[in-house]
Amino acid sequence: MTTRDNKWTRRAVLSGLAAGAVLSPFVPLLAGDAEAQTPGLPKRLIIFFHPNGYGLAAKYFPTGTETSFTLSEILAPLEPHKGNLVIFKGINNPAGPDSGNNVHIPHMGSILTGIPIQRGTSTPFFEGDYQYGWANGISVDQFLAQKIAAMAGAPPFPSLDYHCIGNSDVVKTQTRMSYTGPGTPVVPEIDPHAALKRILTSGGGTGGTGGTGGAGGAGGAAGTGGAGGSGGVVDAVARAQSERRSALDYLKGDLARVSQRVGTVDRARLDGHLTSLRELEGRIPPPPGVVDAGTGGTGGAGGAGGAKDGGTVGPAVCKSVPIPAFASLKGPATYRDRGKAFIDVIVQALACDATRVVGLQWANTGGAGGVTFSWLGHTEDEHLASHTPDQKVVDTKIYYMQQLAYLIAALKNVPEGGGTLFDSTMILVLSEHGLGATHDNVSIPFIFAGNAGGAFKTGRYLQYQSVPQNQLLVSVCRAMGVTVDTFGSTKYAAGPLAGLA
Amino acid sequence: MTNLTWRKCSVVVGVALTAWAACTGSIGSDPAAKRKTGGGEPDLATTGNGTATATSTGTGTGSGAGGSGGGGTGTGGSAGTGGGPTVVCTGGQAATQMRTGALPMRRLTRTEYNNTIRDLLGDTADLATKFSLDDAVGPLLNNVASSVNALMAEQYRDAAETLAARAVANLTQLLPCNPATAGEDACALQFIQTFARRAFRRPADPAEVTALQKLTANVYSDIGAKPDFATRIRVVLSAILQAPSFLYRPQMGVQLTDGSGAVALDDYEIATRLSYFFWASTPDDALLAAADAKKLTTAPGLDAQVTRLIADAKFARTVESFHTQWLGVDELPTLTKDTAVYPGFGDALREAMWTDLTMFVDDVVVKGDARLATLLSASVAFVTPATAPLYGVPYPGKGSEAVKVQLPAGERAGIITLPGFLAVHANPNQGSPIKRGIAVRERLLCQGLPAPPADVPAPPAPRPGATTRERFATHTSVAACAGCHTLIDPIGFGLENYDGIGKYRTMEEGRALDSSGELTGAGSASGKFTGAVELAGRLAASDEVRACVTSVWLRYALGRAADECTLDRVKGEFAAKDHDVRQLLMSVARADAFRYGRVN
Repeated sequence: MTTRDNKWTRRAVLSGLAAGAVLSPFVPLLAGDAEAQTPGLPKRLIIFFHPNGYGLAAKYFPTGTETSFTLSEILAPLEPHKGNLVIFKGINNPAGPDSGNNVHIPHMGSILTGIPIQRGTSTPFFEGDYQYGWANGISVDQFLAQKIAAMAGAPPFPSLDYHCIGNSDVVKTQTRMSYTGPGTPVVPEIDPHAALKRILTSGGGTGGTGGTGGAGGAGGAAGTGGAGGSGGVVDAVARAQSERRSALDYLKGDLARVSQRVGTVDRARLDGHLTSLRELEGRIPPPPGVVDAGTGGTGGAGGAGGAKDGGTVGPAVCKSVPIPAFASLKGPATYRDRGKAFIDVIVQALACDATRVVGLQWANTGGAGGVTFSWLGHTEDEHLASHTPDQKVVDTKIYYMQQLAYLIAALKNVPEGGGTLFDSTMILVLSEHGLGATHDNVSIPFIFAGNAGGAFKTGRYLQYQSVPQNQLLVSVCRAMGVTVDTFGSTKYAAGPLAGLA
Repeated sequence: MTNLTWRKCSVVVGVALTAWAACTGSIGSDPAAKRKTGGGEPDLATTGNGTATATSTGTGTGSGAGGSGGGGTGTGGSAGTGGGPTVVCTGGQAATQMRTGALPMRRLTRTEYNNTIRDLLGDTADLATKFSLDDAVGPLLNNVASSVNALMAEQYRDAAETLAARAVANLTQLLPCNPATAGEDACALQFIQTFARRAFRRPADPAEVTALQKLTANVYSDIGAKPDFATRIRVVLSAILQAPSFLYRPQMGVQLTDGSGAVALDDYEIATRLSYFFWASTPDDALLAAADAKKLTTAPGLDAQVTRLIADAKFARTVESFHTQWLGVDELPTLTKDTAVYPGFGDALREAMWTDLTMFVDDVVVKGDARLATLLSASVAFVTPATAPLYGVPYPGKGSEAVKVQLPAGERAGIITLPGFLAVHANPNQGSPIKRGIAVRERLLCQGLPAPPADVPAPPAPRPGATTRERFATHTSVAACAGCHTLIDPIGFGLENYDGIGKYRTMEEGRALDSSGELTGAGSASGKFTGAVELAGRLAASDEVRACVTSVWLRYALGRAADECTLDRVKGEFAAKDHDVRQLLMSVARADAFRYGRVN
């Protein structure tokens, strides 16, 4: 309850200042906000996953030294952002082969967890694959999402998890990079339209955030227009929110009842379900009366914020973004448009502090679902392309780096504080393999783009000698402000990467 | 010694499957040989009564039938060739094993959700089609792993709100009472009791009724507004459709007192298992009434319902659902092909292939003799203008309706030659003896293969003058490849008469096509063959295939792998019924493993 109240109190403040709050309650954190856990801007993390390794070494790795290097053909699209990158060579994933073979499933399930995947007879997969199970630990994105969610003033979504392969997907280890714990893959959103709707209407469904407008109105409405004249609408929204609050109250009680009766394995699953309902609850504003009675000062703050929105502070609210209609959420015909749409939604979601952790998984490892780059004349999917070391696989990698460049540029386009949204963000770029043609675990193509508010120096090409990615994951946590000494299995390594800072 | 054992894990895990080199080119002996086999009684009345312990459960299931199978002397046992643990499927040990399997709590799959809503509310919008994807276990979808995250909770919420709003638009039809005469509170209570019973597949318990009453009584109380009656019903309906007792199928059972640790499922839990097994949907009123009357924990009562369920039109849902998952063709709707090679491949053909395949299995298993041999031999198709060219037959119908056609002799033989199956198990620009060989080995023989090595190259591209067989020759000429590929390719070569989208052909690269191959690891059905018809004939005669089909259906029913003794027993009953798949399902429903388990 306290978490929910905290979130809402802060969001009521914010929403009041949002012109257009009917569409969105989110605004960026303001420096010096009393409720922010840490002073300054929040740190943001984006996981950017492209499948099947780096392509060809000669066309992927830069040439030169740490600070004076030339980007390769594959990385060339990042040239405008070269000074913002840390490109890694020599970071390996030892947990991959320790999970079994040096192939897709163990690599995918260990790359963000740093621990070998589940194996053996109790794992869920078909006899033919039965030596493999899910990942056996939490992935770094979800670990950080949970840490951030526990902070006061946390955004409504601990993480937003997007998967661009669409519904040409099956649920198995090859298709899931993120985990909330052993054996519990994160189910991602595959529809950019649904993703957008989710951040725009997180509380009350269609028009649900209109209730927010009502609350802001108490604080003087700050010229949001519509608060005054929309009594009927607000009423309907208030009713919808009331219905959801009631339903959630019932469902929480019901889950607890059922949970008492099932075995321990199933209880853990129901506990996860309950946590999800609490997350939903945290996104619904309490009834207006509660706001009025409980946080009278809140309304005033809202008014002030509204003025700011009208004037000086940069990106005010989660804006909608144009997304084309997709004839299909699958296949190459809409792949590029769906990818761009997800990036546009990600930028909005971070700009309005809907979340601080985003996972963008482009496609699946291996034959479990890859895209045929038919617009480049390819007739085999990207996985098959990765098997043959020729220009086709290079083309697929160039495409992903172009998308990364687009994402970076879009973040740089959003003013925040004295700089841009990109300044407080770090993008962790990776694949599950090193060289796709041999499916190895050596020199995973890790890149940091951005440094999460100055956590490390950028514009560098760092070459290591067989350093486990566990150290890199520790460094990611620390860059995000969460101090840990190990991540994943300590069998491989402890501590952060040497020489990063 | 054997590196590929067809099904169970205990003997091979950690030994065999860690390296590619593990393939030795031969498949292990009949797994049944590793066990001593009990007599296996065919009827519920005696199932499980071959032991002294079974009758002590007191649950009433066939109790007292006299233990005629008692202590069945092993008939199958040439003992212990595998060196693994020997399972003795007789006596108390067997009874305990069959009754103490896990009872994983399954969440409705998207298909089950859609069917359930259709049957509960008559709403055919199939909203779950847009839900996040289901978890797979093996080839089957059953949602026993992942937890409902916030994204999925929102999907459930949005669907429930939409469905509830639509349902209350016709309040009279929805309600069991008239609020004007019965009184609103009384009518709301009546709705809660009747609807929750259907949605939860059991009567709501008093605490649940109280909580739902509180919900419907307090709508809008926190904002000081007054709801109309329809709103109260809508809110409670929406909540029920998001409740764990609706979304999941928990199985708590009743603890037995025999010290085995087993629980017996209660009548409602059995009703639920039965309906999702036979209908992929929720129990109907008659099934719930049978549960009310505690008939499902009696042998005649269970039999009566099993017979009724399998004769109902809704049985077709399960047959479609099972076969599309088992054969791996649930990926067909999203399959892509290289349109430079297969210019006609698109939504229309995908859909026509799906129709052909699902109508075929329906024709055999639901409407036909249901025999496994027919499933593996029937030479009929349900052609449309899109699929007729694949079969090389004229489309005899009008418009685009699928029409049943008898195919030219010698060209097709059941499920393994259906274009949908052949197209999924193929490459985008060519067929694939590898993928097809693996599909047959894994899905029809339940024989697992290790993952390929790390540095496997892409399949050799089609090139003029070279046949597929020639292009893949390195598989068997290079020792490192041969270990496994001699288990794969000779099966796949037998399906070379079908191209990457399942079109029949007799020539490749200007030469007569060689579709000779060899089936190994299939017991007495092993041997050389030419073409798919002979291959399918060998598979149909294979005990390994029969055991595999038994084990996958048991998995479908139980949400987990079956124990050895249940497999043995059900397999024996399948054999006794001429391998009639409908009879197999009835055996599964009567098996102890279907009605007992252990709560983890």
